[in-house]
Amino acid sequence: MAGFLMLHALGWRQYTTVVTATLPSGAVSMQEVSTRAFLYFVLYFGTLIVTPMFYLAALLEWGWRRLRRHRPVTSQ
Amino acid sequence: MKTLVPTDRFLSRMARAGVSLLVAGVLWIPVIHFCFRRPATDFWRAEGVSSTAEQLANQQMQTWRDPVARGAEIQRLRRVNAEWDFMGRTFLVWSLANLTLRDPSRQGETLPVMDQIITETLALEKSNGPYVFLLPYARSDESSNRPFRSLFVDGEIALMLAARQTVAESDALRQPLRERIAVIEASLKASPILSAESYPNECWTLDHAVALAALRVGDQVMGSDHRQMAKDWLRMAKTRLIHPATGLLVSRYTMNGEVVEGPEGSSIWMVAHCLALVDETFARAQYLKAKQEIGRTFAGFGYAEEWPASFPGEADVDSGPIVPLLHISAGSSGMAFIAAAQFGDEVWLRQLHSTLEMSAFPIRGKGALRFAASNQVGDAAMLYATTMGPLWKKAGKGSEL
Repeated sequence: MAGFLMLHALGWRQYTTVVTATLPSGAVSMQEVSTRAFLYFVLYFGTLIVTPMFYLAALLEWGWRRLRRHRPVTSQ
Repeated sequence: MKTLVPTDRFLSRMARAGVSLLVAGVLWIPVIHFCFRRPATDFWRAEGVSSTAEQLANQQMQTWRDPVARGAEIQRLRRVNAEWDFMGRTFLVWSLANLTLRDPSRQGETLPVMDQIITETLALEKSNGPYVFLLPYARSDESSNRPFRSLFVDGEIALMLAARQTVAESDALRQPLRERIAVIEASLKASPILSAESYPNECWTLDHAVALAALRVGDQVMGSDHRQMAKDWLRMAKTRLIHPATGLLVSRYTMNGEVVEGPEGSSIWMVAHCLALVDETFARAQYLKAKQEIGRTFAGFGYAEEWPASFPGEADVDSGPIVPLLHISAGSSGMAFIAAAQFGDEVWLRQLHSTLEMSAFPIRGKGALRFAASNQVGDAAMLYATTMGPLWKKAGKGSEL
């Protein structure tokens, strides 16, 4: 998430125009723009889709452990 | 030598983590779209101007008023495709016409921009021929029409002129519109199948649909009547240009009427929109078939594929990049907005809008909006989707045919 916020603050969002095969104003190298756009996409979708999933999974794990800890032990 | 063997406890923890992640995905992915969901009326509305239209129009007009910004945008587009420079102009003029019909108080700011675009476009065409707005292969020797004319260029210019005249009649543009309409009429009549080239020996269904729309909007301005011609072309298209597997109109054919390319998302949506002005029942049926074949929704996000399953193809300049697995086409999805708005499909329009908000990276500020993952022509097409309606309504949306 921090990586995405950093790239966002650096204005890398403008490089995503590469999906239309056009270069942002001032840019000269398609390769450089593509690399930056790719990194931005990966971190954006990672932050949007994957990060909340990990948080949610951690919450489920925590709930699962708590449930196990408080489960009454049955005598044999 | 000691070998590391995962313990049962480790394996059980990994399995539990995997299941937790899976459950988290099942819970999270279907709700992501709520983060981007906006009412459909934020994008398009039957009356008045939507907030998205307002902001996109402000951005586009700012660019056109600033010679430096305009030059840079045009250069960016032309480096990839000269057609985009042309379509960026035509979509913008059509949009501003619709916008002004929705809100006549904006005429003072929209008309000068429309006139500037029209004047500059006609001047470029006059000095360089239609080639200035076409891909280089337009210069091949295959065409029998001399001097070469492109229905793509003539049709879109005619619609641009007719749209401008619908907003407010300009004496200076009356004759150019008449001439352009006459050229289209003559080109179509010269062919036994009422078809004209856009590129040498290449007829595009989309360009014919736009040309027919231009004739109909032109009729409203000039008092002419091209309904029979439109009806005849449509009869020919229903006979020769329907893709058997899908029932959709094909995208490209030769001057002899031989089909070259089947249905494509980047054209069928706009075709359906334009044909609504000629035969609304047929156009709506095309929209519904296209939606069934290439319109998709996943986890609340709407998008469109470029090709139906029965006519697969490769990514090209029209389709834009194709996202693997889901086969999302930027070009087709962008054009789908226009058809969804045309046929009042509010649910899909809202879902398409959610996708746009999530993945086109909107940049808003000072009352303006542009999409970072787009370019001027993409934004102009979006603006058209947000404003479309009044021009077609004025031209008497095809019901009389």
